[in-house]
Amino acid sequence: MDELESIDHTAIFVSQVSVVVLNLLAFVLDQPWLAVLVTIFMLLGALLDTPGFGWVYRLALRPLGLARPHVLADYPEPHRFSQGFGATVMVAGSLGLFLQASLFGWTLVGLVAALAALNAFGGFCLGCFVYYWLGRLGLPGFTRRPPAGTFPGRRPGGALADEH
Amino acid sequence: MNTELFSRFLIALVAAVVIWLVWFVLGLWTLRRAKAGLPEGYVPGRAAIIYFSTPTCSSCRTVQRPAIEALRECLGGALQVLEVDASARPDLASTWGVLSVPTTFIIDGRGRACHVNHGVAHSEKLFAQIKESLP
Repeated sequence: MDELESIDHTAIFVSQVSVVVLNLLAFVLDQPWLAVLVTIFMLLGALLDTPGFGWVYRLALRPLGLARPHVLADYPEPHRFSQGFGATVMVAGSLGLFLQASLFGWTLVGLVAALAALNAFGGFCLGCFVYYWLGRLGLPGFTRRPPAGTFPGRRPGGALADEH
Repeated sequence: MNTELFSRFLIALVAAVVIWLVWFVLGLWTLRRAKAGLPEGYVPGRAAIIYFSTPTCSSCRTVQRPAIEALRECLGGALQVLEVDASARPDLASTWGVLSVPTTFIIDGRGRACHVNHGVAHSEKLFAQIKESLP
């Protein structure tokens, strides 16, 4: 992985909530163009390595004092992956909507909204889930052995339990 | 057109409720499994966070662990933290119903799992859960 970067998690949260709200609105109002709009912003976000709707936070919510920054030293790759994955599914969903495959299209749009909601409100990370199970299945490249001499389940150089 | 709008709204509402229900039931099921046995190192009489992670989980290191550390600084000796590498202890992870990482369990002073978080839980949420678990 690359170096740690200062990442504002509030911007990510606002972007995820925007995706949920707009996708829901797109479905309820039967406006596929709204789903396309979400797709475009998510694609741009993935390409520019920034939350697709982060501008809502930067230009409106934060200046108005409606949202506070929550900056953490974090790796950008997982966020890049989840936005890229979401954008890919949205592209497929949008294509489905415009090729008269409505059920397929709206299902994918709904899937992106559901995963964004689970991430925003439940902390659930699809990439973490996939990575974890690929590791459990023993696929090469998805596991990391503890340093030599470390008892399984224990942290290297320390006890399993943190004693204070 | 109003009928169609209402139908779509209803479908979206039902889907949201179903997803929420599945998430809620998953939490209950996980807590039920967690009664099976506490990891070694647990000291009875103190609240605990049991935290499942893996070496490849970046959000475990960058978000979850700092949140737990902040809580530990705040609560000091009143809280014990047990970190389990789920990739090294898949048996323990299976027993506890871990589906993804990070997963955190809040254990009360009597050794009962009273909250589970399938995903990142920030320090405020963990603090509120620990507060609920105290007598």
